Amino acid sequence: MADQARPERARHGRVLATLSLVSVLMLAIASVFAVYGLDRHLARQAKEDLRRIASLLASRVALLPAGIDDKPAIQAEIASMAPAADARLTVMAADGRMIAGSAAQAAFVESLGDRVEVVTAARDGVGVAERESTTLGGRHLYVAVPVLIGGRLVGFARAARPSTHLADALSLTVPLLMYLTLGAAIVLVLGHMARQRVERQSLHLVDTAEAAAARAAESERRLTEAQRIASIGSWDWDFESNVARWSDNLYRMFGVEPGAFQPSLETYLEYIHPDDRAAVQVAARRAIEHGTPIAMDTRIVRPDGRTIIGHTRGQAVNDQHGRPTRLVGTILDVTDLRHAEAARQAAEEQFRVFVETTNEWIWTLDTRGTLLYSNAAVRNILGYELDELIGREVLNLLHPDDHAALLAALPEMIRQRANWTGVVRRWLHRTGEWRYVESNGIPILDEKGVVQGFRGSARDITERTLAEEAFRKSEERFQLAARASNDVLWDWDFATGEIWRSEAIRRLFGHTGVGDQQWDALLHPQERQLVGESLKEFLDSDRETWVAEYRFRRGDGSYAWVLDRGIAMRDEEGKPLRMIGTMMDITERKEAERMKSDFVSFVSHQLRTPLSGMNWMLELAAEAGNLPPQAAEYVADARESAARLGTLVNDLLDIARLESGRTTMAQESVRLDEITRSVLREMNTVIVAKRHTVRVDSNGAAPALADQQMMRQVITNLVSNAVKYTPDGGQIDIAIVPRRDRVEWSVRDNGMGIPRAAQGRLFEKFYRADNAISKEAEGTGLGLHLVRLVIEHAGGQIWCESEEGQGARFAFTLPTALREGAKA
Amino acid sequence: MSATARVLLVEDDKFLRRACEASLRQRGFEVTTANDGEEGLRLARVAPYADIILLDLLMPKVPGIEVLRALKAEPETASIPVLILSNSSREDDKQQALQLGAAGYYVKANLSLRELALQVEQLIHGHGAH
Repeated sequence: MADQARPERARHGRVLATLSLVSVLMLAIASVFAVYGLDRHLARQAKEDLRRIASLLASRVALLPAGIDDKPAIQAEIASMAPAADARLTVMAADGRMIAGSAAQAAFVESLGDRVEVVTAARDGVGVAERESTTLGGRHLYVAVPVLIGGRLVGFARAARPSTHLADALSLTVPLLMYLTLGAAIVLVLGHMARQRVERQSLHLVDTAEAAAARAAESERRLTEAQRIASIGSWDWDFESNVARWSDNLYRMFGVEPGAFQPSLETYLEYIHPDDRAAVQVAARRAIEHGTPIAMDTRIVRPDGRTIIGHTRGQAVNDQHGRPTRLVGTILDVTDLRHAEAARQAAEEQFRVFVETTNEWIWTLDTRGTLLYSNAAVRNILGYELDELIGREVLNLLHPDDHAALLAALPEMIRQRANWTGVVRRWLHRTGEWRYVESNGIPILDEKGVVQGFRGSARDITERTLAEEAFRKSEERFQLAARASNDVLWDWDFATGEIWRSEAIRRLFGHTGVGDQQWDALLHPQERQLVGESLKEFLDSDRETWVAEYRFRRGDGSYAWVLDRGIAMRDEEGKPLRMIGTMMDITERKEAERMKSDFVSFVSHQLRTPLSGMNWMLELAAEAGNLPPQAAEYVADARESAARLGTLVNDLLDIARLESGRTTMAQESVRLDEITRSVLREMNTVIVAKRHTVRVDSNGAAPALADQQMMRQVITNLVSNAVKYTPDGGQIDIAIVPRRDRVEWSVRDNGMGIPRAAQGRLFEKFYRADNAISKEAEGTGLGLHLVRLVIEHAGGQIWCESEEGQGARFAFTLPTALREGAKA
Repeated sequence: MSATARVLLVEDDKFLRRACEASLRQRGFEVTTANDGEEGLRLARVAPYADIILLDLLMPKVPGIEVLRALKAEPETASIPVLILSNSSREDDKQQALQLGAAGYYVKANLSLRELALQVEQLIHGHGAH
């Protein structure tokens, strides 16, 4: 407390002293100025006064009848004026000779003519001077005026007074005052400083005595506090008397109150874990006998049940004779420390196990590329055992290019203390193969932050890399193929719903990018619905391939004919996962076809005329009735032949019509079961002749949406084939079943079947499988083509399943008529 | 039938003409033939009018469709039923003929003489079906 007040008081004192000094000085200076001002004023007054008096005297003298020479009269004048004037009056002749004066010094007749005031008065009319008086003491002020009689200078009148009293007084007072002031100020300051020093000294004296005591206590407190904080206790054991002294904290560490008992070796041992007691005694004996320092862990069991681990350190201490009499030391609570160490070791062990057993290669290299550390996984990566590589410069196993690149980059990596991830390099495996290894690394820094090496992990990605390479090549090949091909390649992912189309979509049709909504809009209205239904039907089925032809609008608005083919990949349930296909621009082909169709159409019509002629003539001949039997037979054969020709022409015309794309087939509600039965009735003769068994199974299938006439042709065609290509006594099964929103018609026979090779081409124009040709030379090969056209025009699909020698199954689907817009 | 029905056959192919004529005659029809459209119109306009006209479409000079149009435009011939005997399967041709008032349309190559006679009979003596 005193320490805090002292600087305050000191400051106050100094400020006070300074202020007093300054104010006094200022006062002195001010008074000096005031005084001198006053003095000058007084001086001026005095001069004026004296001049007046001198002038008065001069004029009185001038008025005297005897003038300047009348000494007694002048004396009288002076005498009469002197009391009122309060000044010494003197009259002198023009030469300065004193004539009369008020002072007693009239006895001194001297020339005053050289006096300054006289000289000046003679010159200027008035003269002023101030000087020490030779006759009287002290400074006097003299004012002289000339006496003029008749304008002629006859003498001078002079008045004199002693100089102003004030100045005189001041000339002493002022310096005196200043010295006094200065002295006072100095005294004040000195006094203050002295007082401060005295104070300080006295406090200081008090401090020393108290402080010593306080410090001692404080010291003791701090030690105890320190011990408590550090969890350490100290002990001092006199082993000769077996009396020990423990620090307070040591007691506390042992879980008892300080001073709870008198410590000794035995009491100490009571607290030690039984298994550790022997070691304690041994250490104590060694310390006593050999001076070996004690440093050991012991378990201490506290009364509260807790066991702590104490690290004891101690040493023997000699007495003044150099004989060891005491052991002195500390016990540090290292319980937490030991537990932490144990945990750390366990973690380290765990980590080590991990590092050793992981498949990742864990490595440490120095800056030269020497392998300082590696786990066993290196064997998988490089094929060498651990001991073959440790200490070696493993970077030599790198591919030369990668090695060179690394060496070039290394200085910068070291400078920048760079780390990296995902860097792939090629290493030479022991077997001579190149392995792609991807690594991550971080720098190892010394305490100055300089890179001493690197550590990290790595893994073999050869397979992945090769796979990626293969994929890339494959992708490249595909892209090239896509570009080379003149078709648009498309890839429909059902999972995402996205359809990828190759760049040809732009090249062929002038579309920059086709969204799927736009796709439908680009189909020609006439084909749009049919294609959509055909595709939907295909997706719902379990078939693999899909085909459609339609007109597709180009970017410039014109239509192109497109042959769209696709293959679907399905999951186990038959649901489509992905579909890949091509769009081929068949506009030219279609154009050619159309011209062909037109030609066929034209020719067919032309053919019909002579055909009709033949038919009718033969009809007439047959009905004439008078043909010899042989001729009648020939005529009948001719009629049959002609009929076949007629069928051929009809088919050609139908095909031409359908292929021209200008067809409008009827969309009626057609009962396939009724048509089937009707067709079977028509063919009954042949069926019976061949002893086939025909079964029709139609379990309530809905009517189909199609052209009645054409469906009749289709069914006739398919049934006829089944009948024709099945050996006598065959089995023909026709089934009409609903399939979601479609109806499926199928005919199965157990005839000769269709060779695999032919199945793909079955529905082509003019195609007949070899075995069919060999069976019956006549078929035109038109039938299935026409059938396919009709079905596809109706928005359905037709296909064939067959094994050679095991019969065939032909089936088609059609949309049902159960919708709006269908004519019932 | 009361009176013998009169058939006017307009067909440019001679074999078809001869066969058709013979067949109808055999069945008791009175048959007049014309070789082309022009002759057909001339004969059609002259009394006694035919009870039915069998008309080919594809003929030189005046095509069958024009003959049909003319027949139906003239009051005397408008009411005579006309059966088109064509070899065109073109739907357009059929529709056009029917719209112009043809009573029927047949493709000769697919039509037997017997069937033809039947249709002729029906048209003359009944309300013929197409």
